[in-house]
Amino acid sequence: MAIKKARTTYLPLPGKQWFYRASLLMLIMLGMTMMIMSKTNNPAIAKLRTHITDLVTPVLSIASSPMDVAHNMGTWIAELSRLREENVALKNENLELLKWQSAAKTMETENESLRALLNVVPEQKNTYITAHVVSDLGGPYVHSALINGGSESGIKKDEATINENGLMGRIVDVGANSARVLLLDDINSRVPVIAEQAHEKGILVGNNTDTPTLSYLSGNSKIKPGDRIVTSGDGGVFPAGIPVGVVMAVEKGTVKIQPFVDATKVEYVSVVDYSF
Amino acid sequence: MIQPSKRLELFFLASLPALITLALTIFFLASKHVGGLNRFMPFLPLIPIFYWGMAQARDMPYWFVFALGMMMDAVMGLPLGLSSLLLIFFLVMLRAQRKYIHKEGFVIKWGYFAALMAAMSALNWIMLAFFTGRSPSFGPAFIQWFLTVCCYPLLHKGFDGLFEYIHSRRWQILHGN
Repeated sequence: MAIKKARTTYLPLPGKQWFYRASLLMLIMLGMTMMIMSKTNNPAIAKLRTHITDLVTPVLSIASSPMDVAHNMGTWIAELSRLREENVALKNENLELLKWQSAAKTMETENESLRALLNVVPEQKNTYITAHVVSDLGGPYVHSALINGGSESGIKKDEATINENGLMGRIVDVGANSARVLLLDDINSRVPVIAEQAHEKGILVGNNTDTPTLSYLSGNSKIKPGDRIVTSGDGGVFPAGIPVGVVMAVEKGTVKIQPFVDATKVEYVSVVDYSF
Repeated sequence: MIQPSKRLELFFLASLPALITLALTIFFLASKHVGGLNRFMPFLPLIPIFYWGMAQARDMPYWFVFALGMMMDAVMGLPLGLSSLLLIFFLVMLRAQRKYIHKEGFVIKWGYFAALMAAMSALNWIMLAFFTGRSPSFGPAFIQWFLTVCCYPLLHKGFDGLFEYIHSRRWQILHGN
């Protein structure tokens, strides 16, 4: 027997129509109010945002697990095919590193005795908190990521977020169990940096592309492609010397930087408390 | 008189479009760790919002898309309220033309979806530029628009099957076999 399609009929009740329009108007006004409050950095909106991210983060964490597994499987299969070459390369690298280890040990001993001689105040140890990236990177307009660690894990605002390759971004919002990392290439990101070879300071400015640019350089800049860029420590947010990227091109006074960290592939990050 | 179990099933059937939209939103927001996909992920939640807003308007209420928008803003780091307003704009524009497009074929609906999403992306760009005082590049938004429009036919076909199932099941519960 053919099943008849049920047709939905709406009764044109004046009260229902009025309620429907009023609720739509209220939602529009609520949205606009929230946007204005966001613009004025209202703490209530910041609190609401962190409450929502705290609620959503566990769900995103679960949702991203199968994709993590698939990604890891893909990486594993790709690595399997070049295992032999990688083994030879690692053996050679190990020999090279053993030489460096020996040199480092000698220098460490020498450094310790010199520090003792000069009565140098010992540096504070950095603390690292490892967290999982649970969200996408924000889409076409905003480049940020959500991680599954927050104030309960000891993460604080403005802390640097790094991985084994270098600087990834900084913490801009902290909830109880979630935090937002503003990536280097976000349009709102500004990081004081220095070009190691040219010894020139500048500001790394995000532009929502994969290649942020250097600004505030001197007129006769000697920066050239291949120069390494590290944090300068100016501004007191990041300590000096964290690897940031390499100069990719210098075109018509614009210095394009290729960051060391490809945020699209990062699964885990370390949030570093440098304790200035 | 409908049995409580049947009533529960009716409620589940009515919630199915919203649940699917929520699941696609979570997939859209969750980390994928796949190179470019993280940057230009198709805006998948928009497809069920369009489909169910067109096919069964009462199953895609304004408050629901508003809440989805808030979740997106909070996770993506956009100004809170922006996506809510954009999704409401999308749904209002959809419902305004629903009576003309509802009975049209797939291609017209696809074209209308592409046009509505383009309008929404343009509005998003304008609002963000106004809000931040900077003008972000339109290139990534165009790629996202293109990918979403390409994904539309696949999800539309899937939702067609689901729509048939929901309707026939509702009919069976309400009027017997």
